[in-house]
Amino acid sequence: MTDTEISAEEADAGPGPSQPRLARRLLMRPEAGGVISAIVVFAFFAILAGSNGFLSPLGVAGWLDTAAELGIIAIPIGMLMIAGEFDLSVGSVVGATSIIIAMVSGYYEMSPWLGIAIAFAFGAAVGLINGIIVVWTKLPSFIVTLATMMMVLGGMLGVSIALTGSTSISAAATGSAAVLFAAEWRELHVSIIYWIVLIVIATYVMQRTPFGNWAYATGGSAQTARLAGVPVARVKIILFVCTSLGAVLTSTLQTMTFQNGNVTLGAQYVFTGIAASVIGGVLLTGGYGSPLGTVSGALTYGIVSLGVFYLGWNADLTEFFIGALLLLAVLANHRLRLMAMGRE
Amino acid sequence: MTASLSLKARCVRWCGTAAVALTLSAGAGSIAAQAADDEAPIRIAFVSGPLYDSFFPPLYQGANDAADLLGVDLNYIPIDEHDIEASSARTMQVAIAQAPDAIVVGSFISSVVDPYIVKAVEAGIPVYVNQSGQATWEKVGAFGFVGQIGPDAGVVAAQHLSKAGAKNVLCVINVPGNPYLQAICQGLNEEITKLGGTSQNLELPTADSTDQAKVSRNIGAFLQSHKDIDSIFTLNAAVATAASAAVEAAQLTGKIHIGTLEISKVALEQVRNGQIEFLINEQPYLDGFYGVLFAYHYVKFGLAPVGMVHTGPSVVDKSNIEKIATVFEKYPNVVGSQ
Amino acid sequence: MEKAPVVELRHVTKRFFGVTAVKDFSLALHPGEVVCLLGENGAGKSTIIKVLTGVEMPTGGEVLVDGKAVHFRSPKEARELGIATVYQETATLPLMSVARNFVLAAEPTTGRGVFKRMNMEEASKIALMRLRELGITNVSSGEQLVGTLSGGQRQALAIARALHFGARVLILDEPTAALGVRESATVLRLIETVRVRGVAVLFITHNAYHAYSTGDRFVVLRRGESIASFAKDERTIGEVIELMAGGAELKSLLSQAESGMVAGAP
Repeated sequence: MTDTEISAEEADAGPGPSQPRLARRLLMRPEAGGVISAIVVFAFFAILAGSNGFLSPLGVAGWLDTAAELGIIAIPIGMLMIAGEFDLSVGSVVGATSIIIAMVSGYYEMSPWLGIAIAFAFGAAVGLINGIIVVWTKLPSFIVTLATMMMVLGGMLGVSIALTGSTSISAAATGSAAVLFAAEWRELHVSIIYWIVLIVIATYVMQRTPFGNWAYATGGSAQTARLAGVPVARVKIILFVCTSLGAVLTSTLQTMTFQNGNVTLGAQYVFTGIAASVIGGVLLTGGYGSPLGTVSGALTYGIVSLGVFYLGWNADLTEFFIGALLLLAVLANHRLRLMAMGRE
Repeated sequence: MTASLSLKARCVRWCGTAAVALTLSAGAGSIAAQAADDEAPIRIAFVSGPLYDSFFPPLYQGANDAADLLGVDLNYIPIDEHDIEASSARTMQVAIAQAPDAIVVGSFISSVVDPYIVKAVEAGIPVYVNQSGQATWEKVGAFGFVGQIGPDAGVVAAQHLSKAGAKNVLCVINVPGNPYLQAICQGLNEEITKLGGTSQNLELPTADSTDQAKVSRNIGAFLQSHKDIDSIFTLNAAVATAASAAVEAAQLTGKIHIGTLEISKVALEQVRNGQIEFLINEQPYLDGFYGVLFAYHYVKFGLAPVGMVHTGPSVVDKSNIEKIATVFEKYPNVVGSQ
Repeated sequence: MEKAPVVELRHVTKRFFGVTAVKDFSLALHPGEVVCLLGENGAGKSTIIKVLTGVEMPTGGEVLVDGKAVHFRSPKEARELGIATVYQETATLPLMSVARNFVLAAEPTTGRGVFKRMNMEEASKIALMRLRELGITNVSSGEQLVGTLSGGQRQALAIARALHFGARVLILDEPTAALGVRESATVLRLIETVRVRGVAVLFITHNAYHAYSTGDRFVVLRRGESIASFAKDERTIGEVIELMAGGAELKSLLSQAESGMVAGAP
């Protein structure tokens, strides 16, 4: 063992890891792409549409509320993607649980809390079933959750029609449930608080707890994680349940706020949730990403989807912008990851 | 996703041409008008449905035409039907944040939109309710309503079908659970009952809403098992075309009367050759045009029509088909989406 | 080699659906000894690993740890008795940091209850310390992604991890396959270091030169049977190659670069 041999090896190992400059260190973070995109789109709309209401309290509340509602769903979706799995059933869980809450509180005129409790139990059950099927059968979660999505949607349509004759039911937001899930302060919706709490919890769990470490490992390579002793199946099932519960929380917030339950509510979250995660730097193949990145992705979506209105541009172009951002994000993430791996 | 709650339940995807029409007409803004006028142009925010829903391109066209004529600075803010509750709230937030001189809004989900109308009025922005929200517009402080009362379309349809001899009507709901569509079929049911007939509803599965062939087979299967049906009313021109195909396949052409909401090129042709009895035209172009015009008059002069202005339903049948078909060809997005 | 073997296979036979993968195979691994298991693909090497690590139960014969017969029902049971395997492909996670890789599934924590969290400083400290003990001194930050390490450094990390968590027997499955000459040398040095520390090593390879440069004893496997078992000084490398392939012609085809490297190794 001689020193000369080691230094030869060092030359081979890419850029010296010893003291990377701050900018480079930040760029190497998984959320770098997402944070940059959020800052760029914010600056873009603030400059071009700032005087047109985009920066007014109401304007800010609009895109923050949007980002919060999406973020609550997207953060657990991102965590699940980090662990290497997809969940396409989130959208249908939002719709189905909104109908449950509306049926209980509006149609049957019982306490909204009962509806919310049933909704959360239902969401947990869907997540559990998704997780168990994926873990047991080892089938791709893409196909398993596509199936449960259709079953949840179709099943709830049937139940709703059978019980109430309609698939769009008024919900009654009353009492403490209305305060907790529909409160607003100067147009800032209470969902922002849930969002922030969720960001803190998710970041803590993913960065600071063994569970977070297991989730990254599971997504990086389930085989390696299993050999190292990570309870891979448990990690996946827990994250499937969390994803469903995130969907139920957004559903509860929307149903209580808009006082309307609708089976098709939230169908777009399947796409926007995954888009927010990917824009935020979560790798489609798993193993890389961060809740903070997903948050930036949701913020980017909120800013773009409402910003175009202030520009007076054709607002149907929103999806075009989001699509373009997604494509950019995928390309940028790829580059950033190679940089992080020292193979730029 | 396949599931989409159509605001007004016209075809959401079949009418792909709407997107083309939109790019052509978009941005035909108010620059000329601004230059011509010393005063700052009146700024109107118009919150209504998306142009991917074929009902709305004529409405958008009408609003733009009025804005061009009057030199109004118009910002059309479309609600996303796939996320209708949240989007209804966000679009109103955006409209209010822009502090325009007036807001014209389609209050499709009035439980969501009404609180924002109140907020806008409190902020000193006059609001004109357009297309939907007829039940609550006065209560929330809007200065007027222009549009069509939902169930009226069903009533008019019942009268027309009854005149043609209908006793047993099938009302096809192509977006299950949509309250607006259910209200129309309800209106039809009440009116046809008064006229001595009956009606029943057929709700098509959500997943089939964009598959014309499947819709046709669904209706055909229903006709097979319900031989007493003598007429069909649909709420979407493409569904009407699907229904006429089903009737033809069952060799019942001429025995079953078909009427529908919405105008389309194919539907007009089918009225001409008798496959479809009549089309109910909600005249969305007028909704858009009058919405902007009335808001303009109110902001500029403080003048407004009193009470509700009804823009529909009007009927297209053999008696006026030539005129409407000519306009349809000559002026895109006026009587209907292309 | 007077010490008792840490782990021993006695007359092990393994059949899968009537096909005999390993037949009447015996092997003893002693502390501080490197045993090389040689053989072509399909000779039965991976079946032996599976039996040793509790992935498969033998059809016949027995497995002994510290002289006592054991019946592993899961890889976990084998691991708890100190038998660790390092697979080249799946040893580490490239998108995770050195420290996170090192402590995976055995994370050091601080705090209590809800605030029980990973102690990253501790994780980094342990990881770097253990790497240094194996002679890898040029990894200076636990936050560095494993993907930025060289192939040899990654093997070192996986081995360091196994040793830290109590491995007394290290099974290395083709650790030098797909590595360049210099990287292979790093791994061979690692094996040497590990042996000096008193660990029993089972080095599985089909590269006779790599085996010859580090091994104390050799077992050559062909079609599931041990065809030769000998100490390093009993055979020349040429004889080893002949035994493995069953022919002398292969010997001359092997690269000069590799034989040169072996000549320079300790």
